[in-house]
Amino acid sequence: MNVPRDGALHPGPDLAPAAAGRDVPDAGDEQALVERARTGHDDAFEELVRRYRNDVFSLAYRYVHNREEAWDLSQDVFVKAHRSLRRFRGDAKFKTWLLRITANHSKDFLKKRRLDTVPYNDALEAPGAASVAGPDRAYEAQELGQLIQAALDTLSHKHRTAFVLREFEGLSYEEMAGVMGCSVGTVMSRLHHARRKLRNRLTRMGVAQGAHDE
Amino acid sequence: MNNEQLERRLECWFDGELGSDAEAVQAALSQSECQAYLAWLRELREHTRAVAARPAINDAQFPAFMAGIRNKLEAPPRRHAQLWALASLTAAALIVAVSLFLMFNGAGGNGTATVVEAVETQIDGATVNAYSSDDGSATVWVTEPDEEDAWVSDTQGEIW
Repeated sequence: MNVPRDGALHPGPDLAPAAAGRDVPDAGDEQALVERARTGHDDAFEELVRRYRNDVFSLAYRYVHNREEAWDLSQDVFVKAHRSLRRFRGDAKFKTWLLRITANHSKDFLKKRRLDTVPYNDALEAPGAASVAGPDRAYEAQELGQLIQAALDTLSHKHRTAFVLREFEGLSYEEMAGVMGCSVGTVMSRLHHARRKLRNRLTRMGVAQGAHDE
Repeated sequence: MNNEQLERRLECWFDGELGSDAEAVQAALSQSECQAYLAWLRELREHTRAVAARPAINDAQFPAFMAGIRNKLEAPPRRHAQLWALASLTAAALIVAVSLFLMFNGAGGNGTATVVEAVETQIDGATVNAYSSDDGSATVWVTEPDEEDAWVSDTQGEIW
């Protein structure tokens, strides 16, 4: 694995605001690129990697929380995609197909790493959380991020995927259905359950108020 | 509409995915419970977006990323999954073959030959005889005076 460290190859931070400033490629152009890549044109495949690397990398990172592993995992996703290009029928967008591979590959990766279900960490509960009247604004952004991440990690893969695709990646319900391989109704259901469970977890951590029963 | 349905509708509306039902949600928004739920959704999104900086592979890193993909593409694909599938298939076929062999060859079925140790009858004047064949089956017959023989046979176990 050859992962450039932060700051080694790029001057500034590599973290961009969530779901912002992403190019939307032209559909016809994308189809032509996929066709060319399918017939063995490496330059076309490279262009597809260039376009979608950050979508894949970002999603992978949401699962593994580690740049090196997300980097490695993203490369594996593109390798899988390259080897399966003949099977890509074009029913879905190429990006949707890639994200689906990413979600599935991440799930397998986490299974191997035995982190698929992280036991709930009681230590994350703030002392006297029940007596906190409102959201604790004193949490620094980083701490809050860690708490949200910890709460997210307690969700099942399906619920976590639904929340990540919506809130972090900004996908529409229809796009999410394509990635998760289910109906829009199922997407709504998974997203709803993910939010409710997050609310409960965060309430127990003292970050939110007003838990709903699970 | 129950609470859960209403919450789902509110979420759809909040996510900008609600079409014709928007009016129904607008009407529900005056309820304090709905307002509280929406406030929570907004809060969660704010928290998430505030801390959810999007990790990226920038242009300077791209050549290294692409080189890694090329290296992996040049390496032969791992066959572990296929090997496991083949091993599972072989094991299943072996189990079926052994089961069929045992079933059609009778192994484990008629394990013990029937041996008639003694025969007797309480029918007045009747006589009873027994015969054990080489294949392990036994035949017992009762001969009554003025009647035809009554035949009873069993391949194993108790004779009735």
